[in-house]
Amino acid sequence: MKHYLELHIRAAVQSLGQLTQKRLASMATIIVIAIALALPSAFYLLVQNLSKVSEGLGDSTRLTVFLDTAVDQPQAKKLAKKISRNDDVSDVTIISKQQGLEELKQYSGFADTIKALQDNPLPIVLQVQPVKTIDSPEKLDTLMSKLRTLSGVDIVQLDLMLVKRLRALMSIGKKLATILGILFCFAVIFIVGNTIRLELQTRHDELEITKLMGATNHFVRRPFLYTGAWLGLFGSLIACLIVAGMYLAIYSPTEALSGLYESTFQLQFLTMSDVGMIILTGLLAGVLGAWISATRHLRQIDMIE
Amino acid sequence: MLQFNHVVKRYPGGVDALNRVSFSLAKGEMAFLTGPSGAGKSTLFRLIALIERPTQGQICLDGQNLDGIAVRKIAYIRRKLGMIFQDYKLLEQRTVFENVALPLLVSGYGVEEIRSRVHASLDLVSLLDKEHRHPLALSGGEQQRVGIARALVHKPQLIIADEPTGNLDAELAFEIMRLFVRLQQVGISVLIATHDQQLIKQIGCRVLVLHNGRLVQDTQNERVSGG
Repeated sequence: MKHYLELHIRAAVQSLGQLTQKRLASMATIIVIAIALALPSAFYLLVQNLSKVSEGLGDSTRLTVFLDTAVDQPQAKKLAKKISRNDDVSDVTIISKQQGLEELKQYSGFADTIKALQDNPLPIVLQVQPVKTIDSPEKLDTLMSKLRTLSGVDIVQLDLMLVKRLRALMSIGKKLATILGILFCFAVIFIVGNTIRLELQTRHDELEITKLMGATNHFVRRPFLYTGAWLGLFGSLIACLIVAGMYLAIYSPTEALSGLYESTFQLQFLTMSDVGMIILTGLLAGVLGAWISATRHLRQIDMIE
Repeated sequence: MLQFNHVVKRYPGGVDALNRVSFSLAKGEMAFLTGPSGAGKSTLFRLIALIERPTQGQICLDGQNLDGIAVRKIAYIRRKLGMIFQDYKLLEQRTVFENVALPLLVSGYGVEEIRSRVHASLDLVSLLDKEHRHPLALSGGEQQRVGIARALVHKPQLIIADEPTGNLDAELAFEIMRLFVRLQQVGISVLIATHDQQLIKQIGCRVLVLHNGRLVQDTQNERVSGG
Protein backbone atom coordinates (compact mmCIF):
# COMPACT_ATOMS: atom_id res chain seq x y z
CA MET A 1 0.00 0.00 0.00
CA LYS A 2 2.82 2.35 0.97
CA HIS A 3 4.63 1.46 -2.24
CA TYR A 4 1.45 2.00 -4.27
CA LEU A 5 1.07 5.45 -2.75
CA GLU A 6 4.74 6.15 -3.43
CA LEU A 7 4.24 5.28 -7.10
CA HIS A 8 1.26 7.64 -7.34
CA ILE A 9 3.04 10.47 -5.55
CA ARG A 10 6.06 9.99 -7.81
CA ALA A 11 3.87 10.00 -10.94
CA ALA A 12 1.97 13.09 -9.75
CA VAL A 13 5.15 15.01 -8.95
CA GLN A 14 6.85 13.84 -12.16
CA SER A 15 3.93 14.98 -14.31
CA LEU A 16 3.75 18.32 -12.51
CA GLY A 17 7.47 18.70 -13.17
CA GLN A 18 6.94 17.98 -16.87
CA LEU A 19 4.22 20.65 -17.00
CA THR A 20 6.41 23.27 -15.34
CA GLN A 21 9.27 22.46 -17.70
CA LYS A 22 7.01 23.33 -20.64
CA ARG A 23 5.50 26.32 -18.87
CA LEU A 24 4.30 28.26 -21.90
CA ALA A 25 2.70 25.32 -23.71
CA SER A 26 1.11 24.11 -20.47
CA MET A 27 -0.30 27.57 -19.71
CA ALA A 28 -1.77 27.82 -23.21
CA THR A 29 -3.51 24.45 -22.79
CA ILE A 30 -4.75 25.34 -19.30
CA ILE A 31 -6.17 28.67 -20.52
CA VAL A 32 -7.99 26.99 -23.43
CA ILE A 33 -9.46 24.45 -20.98
CA ALA A 34 -10.38 27.29 -18.60
CA ILE A 35 -12.25 29.17 -21.35
CA ALA A 36 -13.99 25.97 -22.46
CA LEU A 37 -15.19 25.38 -18.89
CA ALA A 38 -15.91 29.04 -18.10
CA LEU A 39 -18.35 29.51 -20.99
CA PRO A 40 -20.98 26.92 -19.94
CA SER A 41 -20.39 27.81 -16.28
CA ALA A 42 -21.10 31.49 -16.92
CA PHE A 43 -24.16 30.58 -18.99
CA TYR A 44 -25.36 28.33 -16.17
CA LEU A 45 -24.89 31.19 -13.70
CA LEU A 46 -26.88 33.52 -15.97
CA VAL A 47 -29.74 31.01 -16.22
CA GLN A 48 -29.71 30.46 -12.46
CA ASN A 49 -30.05 34.21 -11.86
CA LEU A 50 -32.78 34.62 -14.47
CA SER A 51 -34.63 31.77 -12.74
CA LYS A 52 -34.44 33.78 -9.53
CA VAL A 53 -35.95 36.75 -11.37
CA SER A 54 -38.82 34.64 -12.71
CA GLU A 55 -39.42 33.19 -9.21
CA GLY A 56 -39.68 36.78 -7.98
CA LEU A 57 -42.38 37.40 -10.58
CA GLY A 58 -44.24 34.45 -9.20
CA ASP A 59 -44.20 36.01 -5.72
CA SER A 60 -45.87 39.19 -6.94
CA THR A 61 -48.62 37.31 -8.81
CA ARG A 62 -52.15 38.35 -7.79
CA LEU A 63 -55.41 36.96 -8.99
CA THR A 64 -58.14 39.40 -9.92
CA VAL A 65 -61.63 38.02 -9.19
CA PHE A 66 -64.47 39.95 -10.89
CA LEU A 67 -67.78 39.28 -9.12
CA ASP A 68 -71.20 39.30 -10.77
CA THR A 69 -72.61 42.85 -11.00
CA ALA A 70 -75.56 41.65 -8.88
CA VAL A 71 -73.27 40.91 -5.91
CA ASP A 72 -73.46 43.70 -3.33
CA GLN A 73 -70.86 44.83 -0.77
CA PRO A 74 -71.98 42.59 2.17
CA GLN A 75 -72.10 39.56 -0.11
CA ALA A 76 -68.64 40.45 -1.44
CA LYS A 77 -67.28 40.64 2.12
CA LYS A 78 -68.70 37.18 2.86
CA LEU A 79 -67.14 35.82 -0.29
CA ALA A 80 -63.79 37.46 0.55
CA LYS A 81 -63.86 35.82 4.00
CA LYS A 82 -64.65 32.47 2.42
CA ILE A 83 -61.78 32.80 -0.04
CA SER A 84 -59.32 33.95 2.63
CA ARG A 85 -60.05 30.74 4.60
CA ASN A 86 -58.55 28.77 1.68
CA ASP A 87 -55.10 27.39 2.59
CA ASP A 88 -53.70 28.50 -0.75
CA VAL A 89 -54.64 32.15 -0.16
CA SER A 90 -52.67 34.53 2.01
CA ASP A 91 -54.67 37.74 1.58
CA VAL A 92 -57.86 39.06 -0.05
CA THR A 93 -58.49 42.76 -0.77
CA ILE A 94 -61.95 44.08 -1.75
CA ILE A 95 -62.13 46.82 -4.34
CA SER A 96 -65.64 48.24 -4.17
CA LYS A 97 -67.57 49.41 -7.23
CA GLN A 98 -66.88 53.02 -6.22
CA GLN A 99 -63.13 52.46 -5.77
CA GLY A 100 -63.06 50.75 -9.14
CA LEU A 101 -64.79 53.67 -10.78
CA GLU A 102 -62.39 56.17 -9.16
CA GLU A 103 -59.39 54.18 -10.43
CA LEU A 104 -60.94 54.02 -13.88
CA LYS A 105 -61.45 57.78 -13.88
CA GLN A 106 -57.87 58.32 -12.74
CA TYR A 107 -56.06 56.01 -15.16
CA SER A 108 -58.32 55.69 -18.23
CA GLY A 109 -58.29 59.32 -19.37
CA PHE A 110 -62.10 59.21 -19.81
CA ALA A 111 -62.98 60.94 -16.53
CA ASP A 112 -65.59 63.24 -18.12
CA THR A 113 -67.34 60.43 -19.95
CA ILE A 114 -67.40 58.33 -16.78
CA LYS A 115 -68.88 61.26 -14.87
CA ALA A 116 -71.78 61.25 -17.31
CA LEU A 117 -72.73 57.67 -16.36
CA GLN A 118 -75.87 57.45 -14.30
CA ASP A 119 -75.12 53.99 -12.86
CA ASN A 120 -71.80 52.41 -11.89
CA PRO A 121 -71.49 49.48 -14.33
CA LEU A 122 -68.40 48.03 -12.65
CA PRO A 123 -68.49 44.86 -10.57
CA ILE A 124 -66.90 44.49 -7.14
CA VAL A 125 -63.39 43.08 -7.53
CA LEU A 126 -61.47 40.86 -5.11
CA GLN A 127 -57.67 40.88 -5.32
CA VAL A 128 -56.46 37.49 -4.14
CA GLN A 129 -52.82 37.02 -3.05
CA PRO A 130 -51.83 33.34 -3.14
CA VAL A 131 -49.50 31.91 -0.49
CA LYS A 132 -45.82 31.56 -1.42
CA THR A 133 -46.09 27.81 -2.00
CA ILE A 134 -48.35 28.53 -4.96
CA ASP A 135 -45.27 29.28 -7.05
CA SER A 136 -45.87 27.63 -10.38
CA PRO A 137 -48.26 28.39 -13.22
CA GLU A 138 -49.82 24.94 -12.72
CA LYS A 139 -50.64 25.59 -9.07
CA LEU A 140 -52.00 29.02 -9.92
CA ASP A 141 -54.20 27.44 -12.58
CA THR A 142 -55.62 25.03 -9.99
CA LEU A 143 -56.38 27.87 -7.56
CA MET A 144 -58.04 29.85 -10.33
CA SER A 145 -60.25 26.90 -11.22
CA LYS A 146 -61.31 26.58 -7.59
CA LEU A 147 -62.23 30.28 -7.42
CA ARG A 148 -64.24 30.08 -10.63
CA THR A 149 -66.56 27.48 -9.08
CA LEU A 150 -67.60 29.85 -6.27
CA SER A 151 -71.08 31.34 -6.49
CA GLY A 152 -71.04 35.06 -7.36
CA VAL A 153 -67.71 34.86 -9.20
CA ASP A 154 -67.84 35.97 -12.80
CA ILE A 155 -64.23 36.07 -14.07
CA VAL A 156 -60.93 35.08 -12.50
CA GLN A 157 -57.98 36.66 -14.24
CA LEU A 158 -54.21 36.46 -14.11
CA ASP A 159 -51.73 37.36 -16.74
CA LEU A 160 -49.82 34.10 -16.53
CA MET A 161 -48.41 34.34 -20.01
CA LEU A 162 -45.40 36.42 -19.00
CA VAL A 163 -44.53 34.04 -16.15
CA LYS A 164 -45.18 31.02 -18.36
CA ARG A 165 -43.08 32.36 -21.20
CA LEU A 166 -40.23 33.33 -18.88
CA ARG A 167 -40.23 29.93 -17.22
CA ALA A 168 -40.34 28.20 -20.59
CA LEU A 169 -37.33 30.27 -21.59
CA MET A 170 -35.61 29.33 -18.35
CA SER A 171 -36.29 25.68 -19.03
CA ILE A 172 -34.73 26.04 -22.50
CA GLY A 173 -31.85 27.96 -20.95
CA LYS A 174 -31.18 25.24 -18.38
CA LYS A 175 -31.24 22.55 -21.05
CA LEU A 176 -28.97 24.66 -23.24
CA ALA A 177 -26.56 25.08 -20.32
CA THR A 178 -26.49 21.31 -19.85
CA ILE A 179 -25.91 20.70 -23.58
CA LEU A 180 -23.19 23.36 -23.68
CA GLY A 181 -21.63 21.84 -20.58
CA ILE A 182 -21.51 18.41 -22.19
CA LEU A 183 -20.15 19.79 -25.49
CA PHE A 184 -17.44 21.78 -23.76
CA CYS A 185 -16.60 18.73 -21.65
CA PHE A 186 -15.91 16.89 -24.90
CA ALA A 187 -13.81 19.88 -25.96
CA VAL A 188 -11.76 19.57 -22.75
CA ILE A 189 -11.35 15.81 -23.30
CA PHE A 190 -10.20 16.52 -26.85
CA ILE A 191 -7.81 19.32 -25.82
CA VAL A 192 -6.21 17.23 -23.06
CA GLY A 193 -6.16 14.14 -25.29
CA ASN A 194 -4.38 16.06 -28.03
CA THR A 195 -1.84 17.55 -25.61
CA ILE A 196 -1.11 14.11 -24.18
CA ARG A 197 -0.89 12.62 -27.69
CA LEU A 198 1.81 15.12 -28.64
CA GLU A 199 3.62 14.42 -25.38
CA LEU A 200 3.43 10.67 -26.05
CA GLN A 201 4.82 11.14 -29.54
CA THR A 202 7.81 13.14 -28.32
CA ARG A 203 8.49 10.56 -25.60
CA HIS A 204 7.79 7.50 -27.76
CA ASP A 205 11.36 6.09 -27.47
CA GLU A 206 11.35 6.58 -23.71
CA LEU A 207 8.07 4.70 -23.40
CA GLU A 208 9.35 1.87 -25.57
CA ILE A 209 12.49 1.52 -23.45
CA THR A 210 10.46 1.66 -20.23
CA LYS A 211 8.22 -1.08 -21.52
CA LEU A 212 11.24 -3.17 -22.54
CA MET A 213 12.44 -2.90 -18.94
CA GLY A 214 9.23 -4.61 -17.83
CA ALA A 215 6.89 -1.69 -17.20
CA THR A 216 3.19 -2.48 -17.29
CA ASN A 217 0.78 -0.24 -19.18
CA HIS A 218 -0.53 1.02 -15.83
CA PHE A 219 2.94 2.16 -14.89
CA VAL A 220 3.57 3.92 -18.21
CA ARG A 221 0.11 5.47 -18.36
CA ARG A 222 0.04 6.77 -14.77
CA PRO A 223 2.11 9.98 -15.20
CA PHE A 224 0.05 10.92 -18.26
CA LEU A 225 -3.18 10.48 -16.32
CA TYR A 226 -1.77 12.83 -13.70
CA THR A 227 -0.80 15.31 -16.42
CA GLY A 228 -4.42 15.21 -17.63
CA ALA A 229 -5.65 15.64 -14.06
CA TRP A 230 -3.36 18.63 -13.45
CA LEU A 231 -4.42 20.28 -16.72
CA GLY A 232 -8.10 19.70 -15.90
CA LEU A 233 -7.68 20.88 -12.30
CA PHE A 234 -5.80 24.09 -13.13
CA GLY A 235 -8.11 24.74 -16.09
CA SER A 236 -11.22 24.39 -13.93
CA LEU A 237 -9.78 26.57 -11.15
CA ILE A 238 -9.01 29.32 -13.65
CA ALA A 239 -12.50 28.82 -15.16
CA CYS A 240 -14.00 29.54 -11.71
CA LEU A 241 -11.83 32.67 -11.46
CA ILE A 242 -13.01 33.80 -14.92
CA VAL A 243 -16.66 33.32 -13.89
CA ALA A 244 -15.98 35.17 -10.61
CA GLY A 245 -14.44 38.02 -12.61
CA MET A 246 -17.50 38.19 -14.89
CA TYR A 247 -19.79 38.12 -11.82
CA LEU A 248 -17.93 40.98 -10.17
CA ALA A 249 -17.93 42.97 -13.40
CA ILE A 250 -21.73 42.88 -13.76
CA TYR A 251 -22.67 42.88 -10.06
CA SER A 252 -22.94 46.67 -9.65
CA PRO A 253 -24.76 47.37 -12.94
CA THR A 254 -27.26 44.59 -12.12
CA GLU A 255 -27.82 46.04 -8.66
CA ALA A 256 -28.46 49.46 -10.20
CA LEU A 257 -30.93 47.94 -12.71
CA SER A 258 -32.66 46.04 -9.93
CA GLY A 259 -32.99 49.29 -7.97
CA LEU A 260 -34.68 50.98 -10.95
CA TYR A 261 -37.35 48.25 -10.85
CA GLU A 262 -37.66 48.67 -7.06
CA SER A 263 -36.67 45.04 -6.76
CA THR A 264 -34.66 43.41 -3.99
CA PHE A 265 -33.08 41.06 -6.53
CA GLN A 266 -29.39 40.39 -5.95
CA LEU A 267 -27.07 38.68 -8.40
CA GLN A 268 -26.12 35.25 -7.03
CA PHE A 269 -22.71 33.61 -7.49
CA LEU A 270 -22.15 29.89 -8.01
CA THR A 271 -22.72 27.79 -4.91
CA MET A 272 -19.90 25.79 -3.37
CA SER A 273 -21.35 22.63 -4.88
CA ASP A 274 -21.43 24.32 -8.32
CA VAL A 275 -17.75 25.25 -7.95
CA GLY A 276 -17.00 21.71 -6.76
CA MET A 277 -18.84 20.32 -9.77
CA ILE A 278 -16.85 22.50 -12.22
CA ILE A 279 -13.56 21.40 -10.64
CA LEU A 280 -14.61 17.74 -10.63
CA THR A 281 -15.75 17.98 -14.25
CA GLY A 282 -12.43 19.52 -15.31
CA LEU A 283 -10.50 16.90 -13.38
CA LEU A 284 -12.44 13.95 -14.78
CA ALA A 285 -12.44 15.30 -18.34
CA GLY A 286 -8.66 15.77 -18.08
CA VAL A 287 -8.09 12.25 -16.81
CA LEU A 288 -10.44 10.77 -19.42
CA GLY A 289 -8.75 12.66 -22.28
CA ALA A 290 -5.33 11.50 -21.08
CA TRP A 291 -6.51 7.93 -20.59
CA ILE A 292 -7.93 7.68 -24.12
CA SER A 293 -4.75 9.07 -25.71
CA ALA A 294 -2.33 7.05 -23.57
CA THR A 295 -4.25 3.81 -24.03
CA ARG A 296 -4.37 4.24 -27.81
CA HIS A 297 -0.65 4.98 -27.97
CA LEU A 298 0.29 2.06 -25.72
CA ARG A 299 -1.83 -0.24 -27.84
CA GLN A 300 0.31 0.77 -30.83
CA ILE A 301 3.51 0.00 -28.89
CA ASP A 302 2.09 -3.33 -27.73
CA MET A 303 1.18 -4.39 -31.25
CA ILE A 304 3.65 -7.25 -31.54
CA GLU A 305 3.59 -9.36 -34.65
CA MET B 1 16.16 -21.64 -18.96
CA LEU B 2 15.70 -20.78 -22.65
CA GLN B 3 14.48 -23.14 -25.31
CA PHE B 4 13.95 -22.59 -29.05
CA ASN B 5 12.05 -25.37 -30.81
CA HIS B 6 11.98 -25.16 -34.63
CA VAL B 7 11.43 -21.43 -34.50
CA VAL B 8 10.63 -19.68 -37.78
CA LYS B 9 10.27 -15.93 -38.17
CA ARG B 10 8.97 -14.91 -41.55
CA TYR B 11 8.52 -11.23 -42.43
CA PRO B 12 6.04 -9.94 -45.00
CA GLY B 13 7.44 -10.63 -48.46
CA GLY B 14 8.34 -14.19 -47.52
CA VAL B 15 11.79 -13.46 -46.05
CA ASP B 16 12.73 -16.02 -43.39
CA ALA B 17 14.79 -14.14 -40.79
CA LEU B 18 14.96 -17.34 -38.75
CA ASN B 19 14.46 -20.80 -40.22
CA ARG B 20 13.68 -23.72 -37.90
CA VAL B 21 16.11 -22.63 -35.21
CA SER B 22 16.36 -25.01 -32.25
CA PHE B 23 18.67 -24.76 -29.26
CA SER B 24 18.46 -24.55 -25.51
CA LEU B 25 20.38 -22.63 -22.90
CA ALA B 26 20.58 -24.10 -19.42
CA LYS B 27 20.37 -22.14 -16.17
CA GLY B 28 23.75 -20.57 -15.53
CA GLU B 29 24.98 -21.28 -19.05
CA MET B 30 26.70 -18.69 -21.20
CA ALA B 31 26.76 -18.73 -24.99
CA PHE B 32 27.88 -16.48 -27.80
CA LEU B 33 25.62 -15.95 -30.76
CA THR B 34 27.57 -15.05 -33.83
CA GLY B 35 27.23 -14.84 -37.57
CA PRO B 36 27.38 -12.27 -40.35
CA SER B 37 25.13 -9.22 -40.50
CA GLY B 38 21.59 -10.19 -41.44
CA ALA B 39 22.04 -13.72 -40.12
CA GLY B 40 19.09 -13.28 -37.73
CA LYS B 41 20.80 -12.50 -34.39
CA SER B 42 18.74 -9.36 -33.72
CA THR B 43 15.53 -11.14 -34.76
CA LEU B 44 16.31 -13.94 -32.32
CA PHE B 45 16.77 -11.37 -29.52
CA ARG B 46 13.56 -9.57 -30.48
CA LEU B 47 11.68 -12.86 -30.17
CA ILE B 48 13.13 -13.52 -26.70
CA ALA B 49 12.25 -9.97 -25.59
CA LEU B 50 8.69 -10.44 -26.91
CA ILE B 51 9.05 -7.48 -29.24
CA GLU B 52 8.00 -9.87 -31.99
CA ARG B 53 6.35 -13.27 -32.06
CA PRO B 54 7.59 -16.30 -34.03
CA THR B 55 5.72 -17.30 -37.18
CA GLN B 56 6.14 -20.98 -36.26
CA GLY B 57 7.76 -22.97 -33.50
CA GLN B 58 7.94 -22.54 -29.78
CA ILE B 59 10.03 -20.46 -27.41
CA CYS B 60 10.12 -21.33 -23.69
CA LEU B 61 11.61 -19.12 -21.02
CA ASP B 62 12.06 -20.51 -17.54
CA GLY B 63 9.65 -23.32 -18.40
CA GLN B 64 6.99 -20.92 -19.65
CA ASN B 65 5.83 -21.16 -23.24
CA LEU B 66 5.89 -17.65 -24.70
CA ASP B 67 3.61 -18.66 -27.57
CA GLY B 68 0.33 -16.78 -27.37
CA ILE B 69 1.16 -15.14 -24.05
CA ALA B 70 -1.27 -12.30 -23.27
CA VAL B 71 0.00 -8.79 -24.02
CA ARG B 72 -0.64 -7.68 -20.42
CA LYS B 73 1.67 -10.45 -19.16
CA ILE B 74 4.61 -9.49 -21.37
CA ALA B 75 5.86 -6.94 -18.82
CA TYR B 76 6.26 -9.67 -16.20
CA ILE B 77 8.19 -11.92 -18.62
CA ARG B 78 10.52 -9.06 -19.52
CA ARG B 79 11.36 -8.58 -15.84
CA LYS B 80 13.11 -11.97 -15.96
CA LEU B 81 15.42 -10.62 -18.67
CA GLY B 82 18.35 -8.28 -18.62
CA MET B 83 18.67 -6.64 -22.03
CA ILE B 84 21.76 -4.96 -23.39
CA PHE B 85 21.40 -3.15 -26.68
CA GLN B 86 23.97 -2.22 -29.27
CA ASP B 87 22.56 1.32 -29.37
CA TYR B 88 22.37 1.38 -25.51
CA LYS B 89 18.73 2.55 -25.41
CA LEU B 90 19.35 4.90 -22.50
CA LEU B 91 16.96 7.66 -21.50
CA GLU B 92 18.84 10.85 -22.34
CA GLN B 93 16.79 13.08 -20.04
CA ARG B 94 17.51 10.90 -17.02
CA THR B 95 20.70 10.57 -15.02
CA VAL B 96 22.84 7.45 -14.99
CA PHE B 97 21.33 6.55 -11.60
CA GLU B 98 17.78 6.93 -12.92
CA ASN B 99 18.56 4.88 -16.03
CA VAL B 100 19.98 2.02 -14.02
CA ALA B 101 17.11 2.26 -11.51
CA LEU B 102 14.47 1.89 -14.24
CA PRO B 103 14.00 -1.93 -14.14
CA LEU B 104 13.68 -1.77 -10.34
CA LEU B 105 11.28 1.14 -10.48
CA VAL B 106 8.94 -0.58 -12.92
CA SER B 107 9.08 -3.77 -10.84
CA GLY B 108 7.98 -1.90 -7.74
CA TYR B 109 11.08 -1.86 -5.54
CA GLY B 110 11.31 0.56 -2.60
CA VAL B 111 13.54 3.63 -2.58
CA GLU B 112 16.22 2.19 -0.27
CA GLU B 113 16.41 -1.10 -2.13
CA ILE B 114 16.71 0.77 -5.43
CA ARG B 115 19.51 2.97 -4.09
CA SER B 116 21.60 0.08 -2.77
CA ARG B 117 21.10 -2.11 -5.84
CA VAL B 118 21.86 0.70 -8.30
CA HIS B 119 25.03 1.60 -6.42
CA ALA B 120 26.12 -2.03 -6.38
CA SER B 121 25.44 -2.38 -10.10
CA LEU B 122 27.24 0.86 -10.99
CA ASP B 123 30.16 -0.25 -8.86
CA LEU B 124 30.38 -3.47 -10.90
CA VAL B 125 30.86 -1.47 -14.11
CA SER B 126 33.10 1.16 -12.41
CA LEU B 127 30.68 4.05 -12.93
CA LEU B 128 29.67 4.82 -9.36
CA ASP B 129 31.31 8.24 -9.57
CA LYS B 130 29.16 9.16 -12.58
CA GLU B 131 25.71 8.37 -11.23
CA HIS B 132 24.51 11.98 -11.48
CA ARG B 133 25.67 12.50 -15.07
CA HIS B 134 23.38 12.29 -18.06
CA PRO B 135 24.13 9.64 -20.73
CA LEU B 136 25.09 12.21 -23.38
CA ALA B 137 27.85 13.45 -21.09
CA LEU B 138 29.46 10.00 -21.18
CA SER B 139 31.63 8.28 -23.79
CA GLY B 140 30.20 5.47 -25.93
CA GLY B 141 31.93 2.87 -23.78
CA GLU B 142 30.58 4.42 -20.58
CA GLN B 143 27.09 4.52 -22.01
CA GLN B 144 27.38 0.84 -22.86
CA ARG B 145 28.46 0.13 -19.27
CA VAL B 146 25.41 2.02 -17.99
CA GLY B 147 23.32 -0.26 -20.21
CA ILE B 148 25.08 -3.28 -18.72
CA ALA B 149 24.53 -2.00 -15.16
CA ARG B 150 20.85 -1.54 -15.97
CA ALA B 151 20.62 -5.08 -17.32
CA LEU B 152 22.15 -6.54 -14.15
CA VAL B 153 20.50 -4.42 -11.50
CA HIS B 154 17.34 -6.51 -11.04
CA LYS B 155 19.25 -9.82 -11.00
CA PRO B 156 17.59 -11.26 -14.11
CA GLN B 157 17.44 -14.97 -14.91
CA LEU B 158 18.67 -14.44 -18.45
CA ILE B 159 20.81 -11.69 -19.93
CA ILE B 160 20.62 -11.10 -23.66
CA ALA B 161 23.29 -8.77 -24.94
CA ASP B 162 23.53 -7.44 -28.47
CA GLU B 163 27.15 -6.48 -29.17
CA PRO B 164 27.74 -5.39 -25.56
CA THR B 165 31.43 -4.68 -26.08
CA GLY B 166 31.17 -3.10 -29.51
CA ASN B 167 32.17 0.34 -28.23
CA LEU B 168 34.63 -0.71 -25.59
CA ASP B 169 38.40 -0.99 -25.84
CA ALA B 170 39.85 -4.49 -25.72
CA GLU B 171 40.79 -4.32 -22.04
CA LEU B 172 37.38 -3.06 -20.89
CA ALA B 173 35.61 -5.50 -23.22
CA PHE B 174 37.44 -8.35 -21.59
CA GLU B 175 36.56 -6.98 -18.12
CA ILE B 176 32.89 -6.87 -19.07
CA MET B 177 33.08 -10.42 -20.39
CA ARG B 178 34.62 -11.56 -17.13
CA LEU B 179 31.70 -9.88 -15.39
CA PHE B 180 29.31 -11.96 -17.51
CA VAL B 181 31.25 -15.09 -16.59
CA ARG B 182 30.86 -14.20 -12.90
CA LEU B 183 27.11 -13.74 -13.42
CA GLN B 184 26.97 -17.10 -15.15
CA GLN B 185 28.69 -18.63 -12.14
CA VAL B 186 25.92 -17.35 -9.83
CA GLY B 187 23.28 -19.03 -12.00
CA ILE B 188 22.35 -16.33 -14.50
CA SER B 189 22.13 -17.50 -18.11
CA VAL B 190 23.84 -15.22 -20.63
CA LEU B 191 23.39 -15.04 -24.39
CA ILE B 192 25.71 -12.60 -26.15
CA ALA B 193 25.57 -11.61 -29.79
CA THR B 194 28.97 -10.54 -31.06
CA HIS B 195 31.19 -10.37 -34.11
CA ASP B 196 34.32 -10.27 -31.99
CA GLN B 197 35.94 -13.67 -32.70
CA GLN B 198 38.99 -12.76 -30.60
CA LEU B 199 36.79 -12.20 -27.56
CA ILE B 200 34.97 -15.49 -28.15
CA LYS B 201 38.28 -17.31 -28.23
CA GLN B 202 39.44 -15.53 -25.07
CA ILE B 203 36.36 -16.42 -23.07
CA GLY B 204 35.95 -19.90 -24.46
CA CYS B 205 32.38 -20.96 -24.07
CA ARG B 206 29.53 -22.27 -26.20
CA VAL B 207 29.14 -20.63 -29.60
CA LEU B 208 26.00 -20.63 -31.71
CA VAL B 209 26.53 -19.59 -35.31
CA LEU B 210 23.65 -18.27 -37.37
CA HIS B 211 23.79 -17.98 -41.13
CA ASN B 212 20.87 -16.84 -43.32
CA GLY B 213 18.50 -17.48 -40.46
CA ARG B 214 19.68 -21.04 -39.83
CA LEU B 215 21.62 -22.29 -36.87
CA VAL B 216 24.62 -23.79 -38.68
CA GLN B 217 26.94 -24.47 -35.76
CA ASP B 218 26.60 -25.12 -32.04
CA THR B 219 30.01 -25.84 -30.50
CA GLN B 220 31.80 -25.59 -27.17
CA ASN B 221 35.00 -23.58 -27.64
CA GLU B 222 38.09 -24.03 -25.58
CA ARG B 223 39.42 -20.94 -23.90
CA VAL B 224 42.58 -19.56 -25.43
CA SER B 225 44.91 -18.53 -22.60
CA GLY B 226 46.71 -15.20 -22.51
CA GLY B 227 43.63 -12.95 -22.56
